[in-house]
Amino acid sequence: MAFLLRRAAETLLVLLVLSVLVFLLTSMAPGDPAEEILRRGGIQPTAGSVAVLRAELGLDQPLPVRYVRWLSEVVRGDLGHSYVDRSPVTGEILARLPATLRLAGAAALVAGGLAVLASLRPRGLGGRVVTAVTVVVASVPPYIVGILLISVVAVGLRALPTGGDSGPGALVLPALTLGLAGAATLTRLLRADLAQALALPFVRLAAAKGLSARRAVTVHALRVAAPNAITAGGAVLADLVAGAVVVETLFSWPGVGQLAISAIRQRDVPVVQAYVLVIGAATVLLLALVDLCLAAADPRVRRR
Amino acid sequence: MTGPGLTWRRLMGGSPGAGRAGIVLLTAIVAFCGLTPVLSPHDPYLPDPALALLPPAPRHWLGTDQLGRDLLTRTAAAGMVSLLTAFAITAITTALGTLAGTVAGLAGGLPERLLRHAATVALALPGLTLALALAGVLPPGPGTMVAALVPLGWVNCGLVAHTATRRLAGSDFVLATRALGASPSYLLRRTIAPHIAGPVLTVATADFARTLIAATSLSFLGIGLPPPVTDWGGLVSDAVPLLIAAPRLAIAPALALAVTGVAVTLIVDARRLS
Repeated sequence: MAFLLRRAAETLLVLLVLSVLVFLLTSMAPGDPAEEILRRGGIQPTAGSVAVLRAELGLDQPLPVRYVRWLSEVVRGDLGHSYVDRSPVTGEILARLPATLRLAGAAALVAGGLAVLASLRPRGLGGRVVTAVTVVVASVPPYIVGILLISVVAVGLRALPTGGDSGPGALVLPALTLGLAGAATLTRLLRADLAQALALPFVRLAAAKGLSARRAVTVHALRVAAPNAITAGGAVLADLVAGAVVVETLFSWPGVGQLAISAIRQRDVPVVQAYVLVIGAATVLLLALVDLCLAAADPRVRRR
Repeated sequence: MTGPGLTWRRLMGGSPGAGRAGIVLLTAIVAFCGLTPVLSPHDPYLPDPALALLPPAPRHWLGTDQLGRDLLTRTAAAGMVSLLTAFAITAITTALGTLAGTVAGLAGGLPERLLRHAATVALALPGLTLALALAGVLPPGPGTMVAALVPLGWVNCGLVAHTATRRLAGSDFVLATRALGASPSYLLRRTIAPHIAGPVLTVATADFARTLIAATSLSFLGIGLPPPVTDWGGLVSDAVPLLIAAPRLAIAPALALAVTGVAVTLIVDARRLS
């Protein structure tokens, strides 16, 4: 119980820090939001009209007051309005989120599948190839891997589309690009842990008593290595969600990352804010959830 | 006993020369990036539309880009920008992290608790997403890149420096130096620093690789450095629309970046082994 409370307090603290950072983005952006809105609306801002809009938006209030007001709106699900077309940001994010989740989910399957393949049979051909590939991939940014896949598979072999969301085939290359990056991290951790677990006396005893190598790995060693794998898996999943922005840009995948990038190019601060808040909060909550799973699976964690 | 750093040795069946190979590769990359713009007769930034998209030839070894600039010279110049940016940012985060970690490790008490809390928060925040937001809101430039990557970049160095310092703080020779009346600053510089330099350097090298990837990713997304100066990420990004017509435009910077990344990984893993 103490562990739960401590972890919940920690998560709340991180979320608060995140919300303050995200809120401060508006005040860090050069220029005055009211002026920005008027100019983008095609209205030449005058001192009078700016002052009226500032009062209307509450920009004349002190920073802490604005923060509390903004946070209470966010908590109620209102992420503000876009500078560019005045549309509510919440709707825009919700419309784009499924595509990002689909990409991250498919990438997680790729990452998990490859990592298990490399770890179960580390000496087999498949295991060696996967490990070799993932070690190189781990040292290289994901867009480089994506460029390579596009050049070979989409341009060279004409096997798959180079981008967009035109059907199930269009998901393959982006998911593979993102998933390989996750597999790289996961494989590195899982292999090292598995090797350690396999060297444990009780696993070796089981093997000596005639247990097949496959059962030694799956039943005994994997269970010992599992807590670390859960931790790594959570971190990798968080990386996938955050890293999706690069892959979405490269493959013109219509997710929240692409929305964020086009908002950044247009200096549409409320949309950038909403993106960071949603992705950031999702990551923080995901990592907290992983910790809970870990505590359930491994009692030692709770006493740390 | 073992850690993730053992990957290369396991994978390559135990290759003690991997670290040396990494150093040779990295030196070659640095020499290529530093020397090519000096030796090349071409200007990496001066466009000449008449020479646009020439295929590789004796005059332009890798051909030219869409604005008629020599691709080889441009890849090297962009590489210098990438390496210097990553190096500068890593130098700042390493200095900050080491200072915070050693001071907290020696002082204990409140500074130590503050460091722990700051590290917990920094580790839980999504780095790339926050960097993206900062880079997107501030005007593009080197200052923005530093502002985007430094605030969360110090954590690894800070934690390693802290752990190492705490282990040293109770040892006899540190206690003896303290008893002789050494000032905290002398203690840090002369007694602690030499002993934690090894692990801190290893983390700094790994941080360099991560910074290189993060910084070029920002450039790839079009929110890194303002043109005409660009790094490898910017070159790749510019080449994406021409991926079908002239893949070499993307492959040259991509390959250079990949080789650098692998070289640094080799060095880091070799250091962790020793």
